[in-house]
Amino acid sequence: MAAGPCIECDVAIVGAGFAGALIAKELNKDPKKPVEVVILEAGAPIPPNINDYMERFYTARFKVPESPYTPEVVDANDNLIDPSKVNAGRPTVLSLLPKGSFGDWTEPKKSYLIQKGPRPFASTYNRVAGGTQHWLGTCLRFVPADFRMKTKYPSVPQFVDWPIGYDDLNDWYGKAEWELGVSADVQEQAFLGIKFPDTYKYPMPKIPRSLVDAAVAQALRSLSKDDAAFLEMETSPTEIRVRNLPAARNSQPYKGRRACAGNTNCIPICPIQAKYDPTITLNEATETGHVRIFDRHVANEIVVGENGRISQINFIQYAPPRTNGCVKAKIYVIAANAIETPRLLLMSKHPDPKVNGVANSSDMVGRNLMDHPYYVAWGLTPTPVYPYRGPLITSGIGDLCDGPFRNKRGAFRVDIGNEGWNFVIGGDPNVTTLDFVNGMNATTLNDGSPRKALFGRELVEKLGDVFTRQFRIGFLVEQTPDLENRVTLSEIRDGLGLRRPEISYNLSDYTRQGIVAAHRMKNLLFSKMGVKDCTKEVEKNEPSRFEELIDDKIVALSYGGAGHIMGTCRMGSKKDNSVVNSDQQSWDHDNLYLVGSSTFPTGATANPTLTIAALALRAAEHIAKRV
Amino acid sequence: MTHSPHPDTNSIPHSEKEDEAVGGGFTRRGVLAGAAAATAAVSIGAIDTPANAQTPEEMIVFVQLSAALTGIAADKLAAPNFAAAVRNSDPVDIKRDYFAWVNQRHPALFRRLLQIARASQKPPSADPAKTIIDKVNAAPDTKYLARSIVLMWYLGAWYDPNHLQELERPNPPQPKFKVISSKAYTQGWVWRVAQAHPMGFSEMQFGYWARPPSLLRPDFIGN
Amino acid sequence: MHDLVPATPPNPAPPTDPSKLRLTLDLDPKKPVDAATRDSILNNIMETGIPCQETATGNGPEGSQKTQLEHRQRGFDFYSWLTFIALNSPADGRTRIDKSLPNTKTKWEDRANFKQLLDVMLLNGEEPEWDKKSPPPGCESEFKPESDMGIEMINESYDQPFKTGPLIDQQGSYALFDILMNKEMFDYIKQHKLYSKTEQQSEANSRLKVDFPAGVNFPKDGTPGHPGGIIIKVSWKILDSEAEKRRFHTVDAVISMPRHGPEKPPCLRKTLGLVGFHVMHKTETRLQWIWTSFEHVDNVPEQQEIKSRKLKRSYSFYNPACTTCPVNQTPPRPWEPKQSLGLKFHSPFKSQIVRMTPLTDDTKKMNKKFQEVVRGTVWENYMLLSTQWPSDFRCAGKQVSDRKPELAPNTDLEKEPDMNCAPAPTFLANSTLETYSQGDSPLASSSCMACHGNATSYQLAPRDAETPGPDGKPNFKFFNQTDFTFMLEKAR
Repeated sequence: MAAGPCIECDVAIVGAGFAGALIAKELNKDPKKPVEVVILEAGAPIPPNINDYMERFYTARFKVPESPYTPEVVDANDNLIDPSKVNAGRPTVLSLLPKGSFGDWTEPKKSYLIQKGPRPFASTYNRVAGGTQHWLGTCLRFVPADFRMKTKYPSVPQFVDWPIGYDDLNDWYGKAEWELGVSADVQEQAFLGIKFPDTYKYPMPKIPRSLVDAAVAQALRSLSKDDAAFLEMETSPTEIRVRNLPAARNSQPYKGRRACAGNTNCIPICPIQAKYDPTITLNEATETGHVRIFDRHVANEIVVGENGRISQINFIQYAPPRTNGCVKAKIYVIAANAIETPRLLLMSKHPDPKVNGVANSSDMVGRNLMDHPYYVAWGLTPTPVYPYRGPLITSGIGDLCDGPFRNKRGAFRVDIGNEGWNFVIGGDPNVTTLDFVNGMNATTLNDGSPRKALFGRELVEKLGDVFTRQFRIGFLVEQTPDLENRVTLSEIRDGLGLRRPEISYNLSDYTRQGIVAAHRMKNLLFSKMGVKDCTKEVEKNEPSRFEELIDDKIVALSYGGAGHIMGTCRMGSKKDNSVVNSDQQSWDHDNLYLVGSSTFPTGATANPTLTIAALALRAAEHIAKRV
Repeated sequence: MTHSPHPDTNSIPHSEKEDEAVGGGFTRRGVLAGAAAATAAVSIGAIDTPANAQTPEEMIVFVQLSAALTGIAADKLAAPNFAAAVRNSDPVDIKRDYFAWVNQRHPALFRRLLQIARASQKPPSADPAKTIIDKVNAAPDTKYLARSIVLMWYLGAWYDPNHLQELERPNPPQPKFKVISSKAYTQGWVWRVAQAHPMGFSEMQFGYWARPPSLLRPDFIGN
Repeated sequence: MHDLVPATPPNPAPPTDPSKLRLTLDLDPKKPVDAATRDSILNNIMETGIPCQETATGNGPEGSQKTQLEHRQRGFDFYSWLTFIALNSPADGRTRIDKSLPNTKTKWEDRANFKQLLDVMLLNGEEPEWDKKSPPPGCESEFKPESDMGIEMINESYDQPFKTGPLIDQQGSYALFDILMNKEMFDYIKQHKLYSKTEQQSEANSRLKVDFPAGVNFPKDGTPGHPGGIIIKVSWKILDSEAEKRRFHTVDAVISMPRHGPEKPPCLRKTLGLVGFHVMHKTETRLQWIWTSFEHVDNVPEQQEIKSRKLKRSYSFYNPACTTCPVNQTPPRPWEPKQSLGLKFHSPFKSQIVRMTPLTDDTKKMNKKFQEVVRGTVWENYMLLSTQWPSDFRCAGKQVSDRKPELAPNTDLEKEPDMNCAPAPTFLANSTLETYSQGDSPLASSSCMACHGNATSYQLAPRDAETPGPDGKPNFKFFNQTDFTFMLEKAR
């Protein structure tokens, strides 16, 4: 029940993240044709500076992606805060831990997402103005095959085609790259069918690659046909190319922001804002004078009126004193990420009582939840590669992202980590330092008997030797859209009394075989580099553990989340098996748009943000014609 | 109280007491040897401002103790390269925060560690650092507090000595620690041992990562 | 009206031997500044001009009761005051600053000495001339070059660095910001064509390591000393009342508002009062520059003054009567001045600003003394905040090992791990120029050197950057740092 009249505007947007910010700004690019936009943001507003974010990060014991931002993840005693007490909560990687442990993934008092399994959904997101501002900055285009998975790989039943293709998005990709400020060189990025308009240039030259990148590139420079046969590419490569990773990270001054200074902290926050984040676009949008952001406003119901059109969106405003309210607009856009968007749709009533949730006549809302399961391995290089320097990732391997193998197993993209074992061992350099100061062996490096506990020069020599040779590799694996991987509503509530998202999640065999191939790739790379494999054995109680037969041996594998949440409101060409059309417009409600990676019918291997941005700009053009 | 310091408008700065770069030249005084923490030649200089509890002598001993235990040069722990390094020319001055932190939590045991460091200076030995380390390792209470101090310098975080003892036993709990402050995090020495910088705090230049790092010694950790 | 007589050479009386020159100032608060001291300082500044190079020792009064750091800080602060007086002395070179009027043109306002950034970074990367000053667009008929300050507004003229926000005074007007450089900076920029974005990206410039000239008192080759690079950043308040005009140093300004599209923007004539003054100065012993900042005493209160309610009746950017106004918050958007409102803000909002980091007692004492030296003029209404200087001396004066005379000053620009050489103090912010980044969070809060250390140009990597060197490895050696200044990124 709303108190007082509704806020009125032309376009109402739920969610101040990438998609929401870009659409709000794009709608107002012509000062002579303003569009009144209201953005409802569940989380805290944009602060005048990042002092608090940085303080929170620097003093955090767990420097997880959520650590700088509100709401707080842990309390003063480093205990996880019960999500039922948080107004606009969100998941944290700290609640992906084994049953019975500190961050039990199945325990609703620890995990914001009610995880039904059988496997944990391992990705997280923010709920704060600026959305996924903890992102790495990677801005990859999808390759053309990614849009045509059903046509190209018909033996995989789960795949569908996108209703648009690479050619439809080519120009929009370019616009998005200039909007975010992407650093890359065109020649290097034209692989696997990716092409650019003739005179196209990225806004800034590429970020220089790291010494770690050079070591990997060197090792993969000359392979035998047998080495890479397992990949089942068109032809077995004799060289696997390491390419610079296009990123929304300044290599020059851009739009008044500084160039990268190698703070090695892109995730979770760049201390000098050399990395683009949506607060930049939100500020430009509000600067037009026609965009208003209402922070701490949680949309809790989409109200459908006559002719199936949305008539208003209700919200709860929780800055004390708590109030209820509503917003009325001509067009409504839900840009709340691929878990919160379906959650809102499912919390709202469709005029047809047989349909579960707004926009859901296809029953696809919440279904086909995808991530890029992230497989990591780590070790010590034979000679120093000097990690912990430069951006978190500067190069990767994308040439293996498509090929005939995709009829049988998921593709993978390779991330070359510049941050040593920081990410993989649970918080280096603390873990390794503790091992050698206190005679422990969490890293498996201190395995003598007795274990070494060092002081002084010996400690310096040991740590200097180990840290300069730490190396880690990561693989983003393609996941199939599976109907039973889905977001539904739990009976368990959050601090506002709203039903929390319930997640059912599993990895198909296709996806697991992609992880197996990644594992083999890791073995090839490590052997060519001479890396001593220090990847820890997967514990029996690790929630993401699974076993596969690889070369007649049972191997225990595990995965993490890449933070790429996709698929739950997928776009399609037919309304009976998709939620939105190729303009991201709902089939059911003609003034409702659902944007963001929830609309991706397949996830491929590229980080979604650039595609989200391109689609958002394209949707904005469509919306602008109708306002 | 008479004259203020009088910056000459026209003379090039130099002073036989100070470690100042003159024009393009390097300092005339050598950098204090790191491993040989017995830099007793340092005169006790400025009295520190009244707000602080420790005496200058205690601070010097603390730095010598820390240099021996951590393996980082004393003048790097104490200040950028001023000759009389412990005469407090360090704008960040994390050593003061650390002294206060340990002193507050384990005052008596801390004094014993300081005494070990003092005692290891006389008679002068070939390797005072080793003397300090051996003595500190001889008893569990000094050993674990010393480890806490090392971790503090390296990581800017505090691991309680009793907890460290607990962690060495079989089936240990998850390690617990507290980041002392944002300043302490940015002053961690482990990152310099790695010839890098704290994640989230780079004082280097665009593109530095494409080049091999500068020398571990003397650039990152002193001699 | 400004003094129209151009600067003349100093008094022909036999000059003091510069190497014997000593300037001293007794900081004892109980002893007033006597005429002899005042004369010594002010006459010598007038004769010899701005100091070329600094000296700061680790000793001083209160000897061992102060730390070395505090002694040196005082030395640098003393140097900053001398710099402030020298730069703000009357441009004619014959009038002493303690005889100046509020609107007497200062040395830095004289276009013979300093040039505004937008007069160097011209539209389309045109080559600038030192002597040329074009009227701000739209102000062609208004602008009187001899007596007016001409300001062409861009985003940075009203929006603080990295778009952190505008500052609105208690009368509802925007504060304005401007940047100026001295001739040595200009000559270097012109020599290397850095005024043009296209030229910055040329193949020739891909091998340039920007290294601005450094001030030195007595160069080894016997040539005269010179100041080196000096950059000034100022903040202005628009003054309406006559009473205000007596408390500030003022300038008559002709201002063109930010332009949109091809039409000429509105032109405004305003009297501006100086409220903030940054100087950065590069010297041979401080190749990371010396950074100082001054403010008008009426700008804002300190936290402590608010707690103890020891407040002035009024401030330029704080309302003492409002106890509920949120502090240090940015104004509501939009931030860009509406052309129809001149430089008045579009809403009733007024900035309520508090200084987060108090001045040290030493600085306050020094301020009192120097304010006495210039008593009787508006300059007694200005105070030093602090001076930031690189405290690691070995690092600060480090030159490359293979020095080439033609590449003077040969700064070693690739230091690890700290290219800033341990700035002291760690943080510094001017309440009118870094209003919203005050604090002590590493990197997030304002520190002259930590921030300026990130300044880069548009230079590109040389074409052979990735070809392998003699060791077979690609030698991706490429350098685009701009030696601590953001000016080069304003090339158009």
